[in-house]
Amino acid sequence: MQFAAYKAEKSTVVIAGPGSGKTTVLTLKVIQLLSERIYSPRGLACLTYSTEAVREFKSRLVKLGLEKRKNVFLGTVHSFCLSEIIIPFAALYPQYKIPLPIRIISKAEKSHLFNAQNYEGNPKLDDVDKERTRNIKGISRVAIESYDIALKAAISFEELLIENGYLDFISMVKKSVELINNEPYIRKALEAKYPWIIVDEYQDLGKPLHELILTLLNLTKIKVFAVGDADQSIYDFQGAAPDYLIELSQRQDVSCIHLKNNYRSSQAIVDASEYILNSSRGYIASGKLRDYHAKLEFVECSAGMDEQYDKVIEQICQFRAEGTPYHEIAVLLANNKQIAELAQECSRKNIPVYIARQTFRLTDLIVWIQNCAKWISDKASVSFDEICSAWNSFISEKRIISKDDYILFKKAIYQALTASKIYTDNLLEWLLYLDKAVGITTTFTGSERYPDEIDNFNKLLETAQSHDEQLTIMFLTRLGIPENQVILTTRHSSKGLEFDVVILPGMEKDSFPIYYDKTPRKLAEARRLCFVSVSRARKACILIRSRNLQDKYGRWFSKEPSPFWVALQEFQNSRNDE
Amino acid sequence: MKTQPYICRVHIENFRNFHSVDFSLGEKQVLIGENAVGKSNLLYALQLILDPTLSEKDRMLEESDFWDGIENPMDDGQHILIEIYLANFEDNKNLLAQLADASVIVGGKETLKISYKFFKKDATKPDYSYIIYKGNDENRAFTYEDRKILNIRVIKAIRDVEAEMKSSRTSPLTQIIKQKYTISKDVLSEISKALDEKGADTLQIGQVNDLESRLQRLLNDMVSFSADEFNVSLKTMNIDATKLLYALRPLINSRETGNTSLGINNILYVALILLLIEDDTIRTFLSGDLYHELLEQDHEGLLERSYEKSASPDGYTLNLTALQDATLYDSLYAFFSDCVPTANGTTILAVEEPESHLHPIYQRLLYRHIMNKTNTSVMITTHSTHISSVAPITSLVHLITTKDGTKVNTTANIALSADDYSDLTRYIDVKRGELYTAKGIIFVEGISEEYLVPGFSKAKGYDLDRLGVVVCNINSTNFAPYCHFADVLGIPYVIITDGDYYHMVDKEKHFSDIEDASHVGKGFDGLDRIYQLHRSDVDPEYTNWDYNHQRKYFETFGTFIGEYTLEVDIFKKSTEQDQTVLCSVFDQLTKGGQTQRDNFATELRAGRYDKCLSKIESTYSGIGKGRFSQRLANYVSASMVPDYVSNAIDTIVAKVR
Repeated sequence: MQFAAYKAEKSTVVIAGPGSGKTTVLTLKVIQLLSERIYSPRGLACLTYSTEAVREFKSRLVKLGLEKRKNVFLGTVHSFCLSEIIIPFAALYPQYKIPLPIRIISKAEKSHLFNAQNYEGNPKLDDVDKERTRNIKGISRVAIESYDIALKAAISFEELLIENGYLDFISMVKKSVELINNEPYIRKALEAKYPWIIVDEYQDLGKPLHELILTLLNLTKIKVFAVGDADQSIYDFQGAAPDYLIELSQRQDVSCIHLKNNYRSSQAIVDASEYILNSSRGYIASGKLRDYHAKLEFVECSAGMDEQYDKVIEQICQFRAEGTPYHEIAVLLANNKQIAELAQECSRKNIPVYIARQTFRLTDLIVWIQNCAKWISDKASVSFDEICSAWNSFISEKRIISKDDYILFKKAIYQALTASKIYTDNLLEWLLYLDKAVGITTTFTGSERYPDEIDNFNKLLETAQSHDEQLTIMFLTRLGIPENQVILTTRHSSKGLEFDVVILPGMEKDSFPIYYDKTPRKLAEARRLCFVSVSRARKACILIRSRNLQDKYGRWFSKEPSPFWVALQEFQNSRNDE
Repeated sequence: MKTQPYICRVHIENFRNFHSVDFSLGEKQVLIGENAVGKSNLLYALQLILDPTLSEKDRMLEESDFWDGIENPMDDGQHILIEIYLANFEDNKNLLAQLADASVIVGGKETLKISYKFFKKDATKPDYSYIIYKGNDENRAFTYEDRKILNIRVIKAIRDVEAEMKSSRTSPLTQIIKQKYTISKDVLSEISKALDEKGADTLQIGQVNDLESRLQRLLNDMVSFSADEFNVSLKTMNIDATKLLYALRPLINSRETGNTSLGINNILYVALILLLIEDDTIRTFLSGDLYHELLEQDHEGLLERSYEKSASPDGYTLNLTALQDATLYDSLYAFFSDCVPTANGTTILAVEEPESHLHPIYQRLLYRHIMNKTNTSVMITTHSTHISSVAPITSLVHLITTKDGTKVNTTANIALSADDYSDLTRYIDVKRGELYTAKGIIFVEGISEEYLVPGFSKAKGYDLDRLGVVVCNINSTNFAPYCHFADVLGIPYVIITDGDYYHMVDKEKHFSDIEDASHVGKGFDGLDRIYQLHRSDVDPEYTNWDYNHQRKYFETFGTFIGEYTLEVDIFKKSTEQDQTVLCSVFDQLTKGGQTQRDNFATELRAGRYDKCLSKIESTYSGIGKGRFSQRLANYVSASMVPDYVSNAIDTIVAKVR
């Protein structure tokens, strides 16, 4: 099946279950297209969900021998819309009233603007944004019930943004879809540049991307190669839904390939995760752990989360004693508060933990700073030219470096980085020096293209400052790579990761799914979240629950097990019977 | 045939001959104009942007490249600007993919714009630099990468074709082999071995044979006008497997190019360049391997219908006859675009003076081929009226020197009715494009003026040839399309037309009488015609004026109107001495006897000029207007010149001086 996907000549949806090697399929398809089917200057566009995914994908492609060439776009849907549609065409077609110059609203500014409105029913900005995402007219027939209070606010808030001369990530995509729909020339230009569009994690990308893809399929000769898994659609809070991928896969002009081999987990884990879904997918364990006797354990505590944390630590120690390294153990929790609590508990017991999520995000600027740190430590690890060209693109908003002056510009960066070496033992001082030497704060303050970077940079400074022990620049160079540490993450953020052992605390009714999720759509989303969580495991999955829990006022309630706990126990019993 | 993208508009500021020009172009263009007017500089302006063979240094202009009309341009911070706009590019995927950043909207329509600017970057420093950029954003550089996809190839007027073809570095033959064919190393070493052992000098390689036959076909298509066909073969000068292909030389009728005529060499060279820049989406030759590979993807049997097994070992050649089926052609084109993607770009071909060393017949044939049978956009500069006279009248780019630098006038957007278009086309062809060489034109309606106006001018002391004024006889009074054409070309002109006096008899216009007090419903058809010509601009008071006033008024428009016909007006103007001359011309020519000669003199002296004219035109005298004027032209005097003709001559002479 992987091979069929690789050779596909027409638009294709690849339904890729957990551990099916989808990234391999995707990267090989890109290389195949670029080396055999598409000649420069034409290329292809690869759209992924997050900037992290973009970087991951890019480095894989480079390792596979992808050379730099024209019209190969690797990026998020937003950056695609911005750089390929809005920036080149907004000025050509003023009738769409896209505010020029392009200004992207910062998160702070956006919530400020939103809060000043007092919309009826006081909807939350997140909900309003979700409605804005879904409220796009187009081709798709997927109907999702809307949250009317938020929808009302969504419509007027969207107008308000444009009136104030702002674009945000949502209007960027919506305006792009509008432009593509109405302007044949833009479609021709896109078709010329990108005869193929590759989409990763289609289920995560929401309706605007879906409409963009449907429009291109209907009105151009562009072919689409989309990879995803409706069962792993867990970003409802951002407007994603499994239905879009399903709709795409059912089109006449799209062939659908289902990858059923799971190269990650033992058959027992595969079966357990499928049991949660409550519908058969026919996944087959095909990796070297195929016949591994997987452990599925149910741990009950009498009362409170603290006892659950103790049990978690007990489990960690036990697996560690059996030879599982710390970084192959992950604890998937409900939220960041629980992560913080567990992290504290672990540090008391001297168990090293890695918290996947920092207060700052791994944005382009942070990655750039990270690359600078890497370059200082090992010049061979990062390309200096790339450091320069990345910085050049950051500052291009305010200052254009001519080709004659570029060498001077490079020299200045070289000198700044070289001089910063004396601060490598103190992350905070190094960051402050770098800021002063190249002008990070001056570059990003008030930036319209990178409105949130300055905030993010300040958060990095806070992190550097607030740590108990003094951080070195090693903190940056190793960022994202756990070093024999137990991984603590939320269930949502665990997507795409895999571990030998997955521990799932908080498996009570009303905790998971959480009590306020009542609609069938929300319950299905929670079911998928559990599917994702369990399928992260290769060899073992430990579920933990308490019989009694306190509410936020300190009152105790007895708790039933989560329906997923019940289901998995059922599965376990049937397995033992055999 | 798929047409190619072309430059549809050019804007130049301060470059060499050009102060400020902005003009439209079509797909095929013929650049005409006198020496040193700036035809090559116009091409060079395009080369600055598009020619991949120019170096950085070439693109870095100097103070001397500024238009002469600006003093100390570089102290003043002046700039040189060249902008080109493209049309017909929307379906060219490679071009659009590469140049989408150059998109701009002009007049509601998307186009691609590329600019060259030589300017002072920093007002406080003396340094000049240049940028070439896409669209309106100076930061989107147009680079050599872009030039791979869109470029211009100029075949220079002064070219050493023989030397170029002999050097493997510059030979278009080598470039074709390199760019358009893939020949496996195994095949080459086999051939090399065979050549070494058998001493054979023909190359049994499918690809080379294909090129040979294409070249032969093209050359004969281009210039063969008799049953004699050129025989083209390719021979290698080096049998080493790695060099064999790069040492190919063409033989024409078994002679090496050094031994054939310069003219034929030139044609061969142009043919090779045409093959080099041809759209080769549909391959003329498929190696066996490729053919079978493609066969798997061909579900409609396109390949089997369009290719046949070639005589040479292992290969398939395109069957051109089958391809005349337009639907098959389109399907095959789409099939190849899809299955054998190429990184090909678009080349605009510019040929300077293709007439060099060529017999007029070859000039025309070569030109016709380039203009009509190639799908590339072409620009030709020429001094040959053999060429310009067969150019479509919508393809002209006319360069004219003015005080404000060279002006460029193009006919790409000329609006003409189908009838006017074909009249004009035939006229230009028959008159061998005399219009195009003119600095000024006197449009006349008949043969009499054609003979006499140059004579009158001479009598007035002007040499029209030296002044570049051409008398154009359009053989009718339908001046409008000709005037429009001259306007578009930017050539100043005057019109001389008969007054054609008439009076009404039985409600119908009656011509060729001399005015008489008894006449009713008098008028001048000439005035009426010219009124129609200028009707949108005529003064509302016009109808209240007398005829002389009207005539004078129209002279300010450059339209000069007589009273009767030219002959009658001459007779009317003639002095006694002139009348003697007129009589003697009549006497010399007439077949009639003495009585008729005497009658002619009598009528002339009595002022019955209409009778004189009818004697000239009568079968009895056997003279005719043409013959009379032809002879009279030798004897004209200044006093004989009717006032309106005299004014017309003075006016055009003033305009061209």
